[in-house]
Amino acid sequence: MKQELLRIIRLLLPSLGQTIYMVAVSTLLSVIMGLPLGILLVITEKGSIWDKPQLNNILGTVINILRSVPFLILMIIVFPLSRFIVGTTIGTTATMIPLALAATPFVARVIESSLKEVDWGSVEASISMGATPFQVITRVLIPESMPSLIQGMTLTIINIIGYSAMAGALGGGGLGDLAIRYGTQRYDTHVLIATVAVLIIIVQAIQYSGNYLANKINRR
Amino acid sequence: MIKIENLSKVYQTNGKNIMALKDISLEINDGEIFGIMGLSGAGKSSLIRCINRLEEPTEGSIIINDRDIMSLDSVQLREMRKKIGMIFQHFNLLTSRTVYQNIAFPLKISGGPQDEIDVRVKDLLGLVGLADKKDSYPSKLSGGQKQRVGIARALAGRPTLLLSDEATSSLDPQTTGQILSLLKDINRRLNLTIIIISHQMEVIREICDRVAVLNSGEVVETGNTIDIFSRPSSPITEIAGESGRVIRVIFLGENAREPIMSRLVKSFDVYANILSGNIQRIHGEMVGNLIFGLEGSIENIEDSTRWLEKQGLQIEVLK
Repeated sequence: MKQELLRIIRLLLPSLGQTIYMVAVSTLLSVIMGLPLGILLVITEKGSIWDKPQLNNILGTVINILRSVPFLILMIIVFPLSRFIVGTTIGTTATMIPLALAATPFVARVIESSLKEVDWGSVEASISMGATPFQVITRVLIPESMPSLIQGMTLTIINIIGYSAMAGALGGGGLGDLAIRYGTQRYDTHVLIATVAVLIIIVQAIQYSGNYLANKINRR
Repeated sequence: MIKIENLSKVYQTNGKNIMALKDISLEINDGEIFGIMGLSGAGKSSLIRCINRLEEPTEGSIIINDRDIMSLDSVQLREMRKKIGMIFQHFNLLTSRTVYQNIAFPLKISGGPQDEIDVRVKDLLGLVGLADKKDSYPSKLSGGQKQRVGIARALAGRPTLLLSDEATSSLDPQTTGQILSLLKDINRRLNLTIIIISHQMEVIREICDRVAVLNSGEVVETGNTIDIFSRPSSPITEIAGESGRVIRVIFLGENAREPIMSRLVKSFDVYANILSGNIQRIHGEMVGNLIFGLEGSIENIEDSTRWLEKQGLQIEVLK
């Protein structure tokens, strides 16, 4: 019993590490790419602070197209890109490229909807005080929507965890990979159950921390 | 001095042109409280928002202190806006910032030294009487307190002009009174020009020196508040923000000496709000002309109207 537990832990730990690494880096990358896109989606809308309806249309369409490509297919499509950037198409590091790419349009939409919750009146008030569009973004839109942005990030991270498990099927490493290799291919039920349990715990923990943080800073 | 000349604003919705403001010309003197009144949809809001170009006028010019704000580029416009304070019906405070941080906001975006900002904000907190609330968040404040923060914030950059966009319309009557006296006090102490738009007649009557009446995007009347409100034929009665009935009574001869109003209020459970009134001597006869609003239950208003008719008065139900 004890030995079985040790065996499972030995298998789980490196995979868990890979998953955390993969999810953390791809979340970061997707936010770096998605945040400006989300902001652009909001400010280029008709009547907003940088009124560019045509650009808004183009952005919206591109994001929708990217979001409609199923993740597994996207992963295969970007293999050449992964090879170009990382040098290989298998392994944890290589998987981060498609993960980040898949999550970027999602992040952009999540950020867009959070920023849109900000009361237009407070934006207008800051414009009336002589704020520049950049100041409106950094000092009004983002701080005012922070609780909602945190909730959105929680959603994004959980989504990326889901994708990363899928990526395991294509040699991506991490917990998903472990579950497939041991749980499915070797009928090792213990490992399968343990993997699922760990994933459940991670998702719960992230959701809980997200809710806690969002509530803590919510002043509305 | 603020000079608005031939200002027009056209909105395009679904390919149709809607003329919100038609050829408006107004002059507003330094240090006065100028009221713009009208029913909702009359164009008041468009007009005041054109003054700091929150909305772009379609035609015309707006000259503030000898500068045509229509000719300013975006950088100059932002500098100009820092000298024009604005307060809003829904206060528009930043919910994620404390009272102190909200008032400091315009100073922060202008980028002054922190110690100067600190001194200024503390002054303003004192001016609006909220020193003890400086670390509260707006959600913890009452409507009146929120508007005080709004006023302090609008004054932070030492503006020469304050725009008030229905600033008391979501406040109860008592709080409205307090905010109005604060505005009046600021106007006197700082010699600050204030432009107020409101659909509430009592607000305009209470503090404005001069008034413009807007109807369907056009200025139908301009003048001293006293003159406009005392002129019995004024269209103001039509646009009265009165929620109840508006009645005009002409008193003749002996009737003019009777305490009609007091008896009316005493006999019926109604509130009478005098909108305008005067007594003139025509050919040696006293002629009283009184316009007032009645508020109360429908029955009581009907009863009091009938009672007035029985008194041998000439009455006219205006609304």
